[in-house]
Amino acid sequence: MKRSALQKKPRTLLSRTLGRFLICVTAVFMLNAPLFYLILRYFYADGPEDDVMVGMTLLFLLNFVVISVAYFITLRFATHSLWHPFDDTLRKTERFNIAKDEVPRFNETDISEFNRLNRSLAQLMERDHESFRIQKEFTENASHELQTPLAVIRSKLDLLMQEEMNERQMNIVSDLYHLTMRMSHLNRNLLLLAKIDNAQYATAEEVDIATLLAETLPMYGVLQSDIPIKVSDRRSVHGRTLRANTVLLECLLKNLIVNALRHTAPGGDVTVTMTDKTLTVSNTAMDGPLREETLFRRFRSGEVRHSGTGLGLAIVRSICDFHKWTVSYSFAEGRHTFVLGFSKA
Amino acid sequence: MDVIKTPSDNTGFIKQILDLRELNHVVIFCYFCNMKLLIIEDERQLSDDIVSFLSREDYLCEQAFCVSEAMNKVDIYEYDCILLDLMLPDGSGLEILRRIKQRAPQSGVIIISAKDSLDDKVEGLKIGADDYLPKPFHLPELSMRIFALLRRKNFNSANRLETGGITIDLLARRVSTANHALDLTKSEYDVLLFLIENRRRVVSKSALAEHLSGDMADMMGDFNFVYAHIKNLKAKLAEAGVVDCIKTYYGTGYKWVAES
Repeated sequence: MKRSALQKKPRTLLSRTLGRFLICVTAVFMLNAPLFYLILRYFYADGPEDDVMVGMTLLFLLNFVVISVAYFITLRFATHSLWHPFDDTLRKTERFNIAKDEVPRFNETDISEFNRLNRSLAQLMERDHESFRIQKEFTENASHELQTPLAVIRSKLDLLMQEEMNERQMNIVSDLYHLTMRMSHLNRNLLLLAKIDNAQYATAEEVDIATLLAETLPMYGVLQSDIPIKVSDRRSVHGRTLRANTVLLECLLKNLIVNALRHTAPGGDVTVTMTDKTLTVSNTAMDGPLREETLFRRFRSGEVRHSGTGLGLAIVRSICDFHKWTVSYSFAEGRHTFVLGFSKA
Repeated sequence: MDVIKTPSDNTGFIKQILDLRELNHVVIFCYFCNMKLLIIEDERQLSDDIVSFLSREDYLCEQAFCVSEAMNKVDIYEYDCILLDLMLPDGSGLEILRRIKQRAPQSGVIIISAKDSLDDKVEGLKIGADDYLPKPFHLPELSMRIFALLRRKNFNSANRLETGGITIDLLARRVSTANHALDLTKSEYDVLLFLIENRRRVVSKSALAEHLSGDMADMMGDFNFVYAHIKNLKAKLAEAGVVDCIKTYYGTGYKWVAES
């Protein structure tokens, strides 16, 4: 294509097709010229009156055949080569992945429409690529820029705490402290969501989920010693591995279990059940069922939030989507139950 | 002690004190007087706050605000501990880290970074950083990490803390009084150590919460669990005859007040 592009000036697809067609017709006519000649000589020059009719019919048929054959050849072969650059463009566009690849390089063609198409496609992809990059950078930079002032506020509060203060002042400082912690947590979670969406946690390894759970369980004891965490059926799934990103999987488990701990009624318990394909976390509820349709949304509204960022379950959903797992919620017999379904790998 | 300026002198001095300690039970904290610290952090306010918070420890703190300044200082002086921010206006902190490891590999390095990404953490630790603390952090947490780092670097054999009538064996993670061994849970031990290593300072409940449970404290949404651990710890200490060592400030801050 490149070679011809250097030689030929780009023309429209229509004129190129017509050109090919004319060449074809001419070529076929040329090839059939002896036949025309023979027919003319036999039926017109030498033969009687009746033969002229036959001759005309034959000529007419021959004309028809010649044009048909030329048309067929043009469609079948010439068009194929004409449309080849279009195929090429299509292939490159299909393979284009915004998160990974560079913008593909399209070759110059001798068809002006395809050139225009390639140019605008390349522009479009470049713009997409650029905005994707900017968005990725922005979330990271925004998080960084927010994190630094938060760090300064926090360090100032740490210093302020060392001063002599009365109870009222101390409570104000303490409230401020809590708020900065919530803000930085929010900030971290938003960044985490953005990173999951951008597939920045692409590395996956085989994780033994039973072992991972066993390792993390003691940590929850720090948060709540009154509410027991019961793990059942650990032996039956021992050695069962799951293809996942360890950081994300750990985050998922923490979010689910801490969430359960937070909303467990005093005297209740949290139960974690594992089977080959599912992991269930359930806890004794303090009140009625939650609304499933909004449960996994970011910053769900219409619900009183005492604490937390309202992003925990959104992160759970996001991590599940990323690994192509399912997560569902149900409420029965006074227990909230979350079920993770791992598609059998 | 004021005459001792360079770390090499300091370690020699430390060894002497170590021998002395066997005899006199000198409390471990004073070993770290005149330890040299370099704080490489472009946010001037944060850097100043760190200096002012750490000033109670009698460390010699120096500050650098950009890569070139930090490189100069690292080339000329040796430091016992370096706090390193990775995102600096004129380059990456990882460059400085490489230089430090080339010139003075015995210096301890703690990376303090707002770039809370796993790659940087792995990269930093691979080059030779000793610890990684994501921003924003609590100053008591930073102070504790520095203390732990200096202890690791300099006192492989001396792993006992003595304060307010109790002795902590840092290696065995055991706490005892003169005639009584305390049976503490892991969380209680962590609380105790955190308070003692931040002695004479008020430590907020949230700093303790984060120290104990990492990011799970945030997920939990409240820090009441800290109160439960403090309460249990106080009860156990009182049982062993150690009373009024932990002072509570209106339920939001705690301080280890026992003099050593």
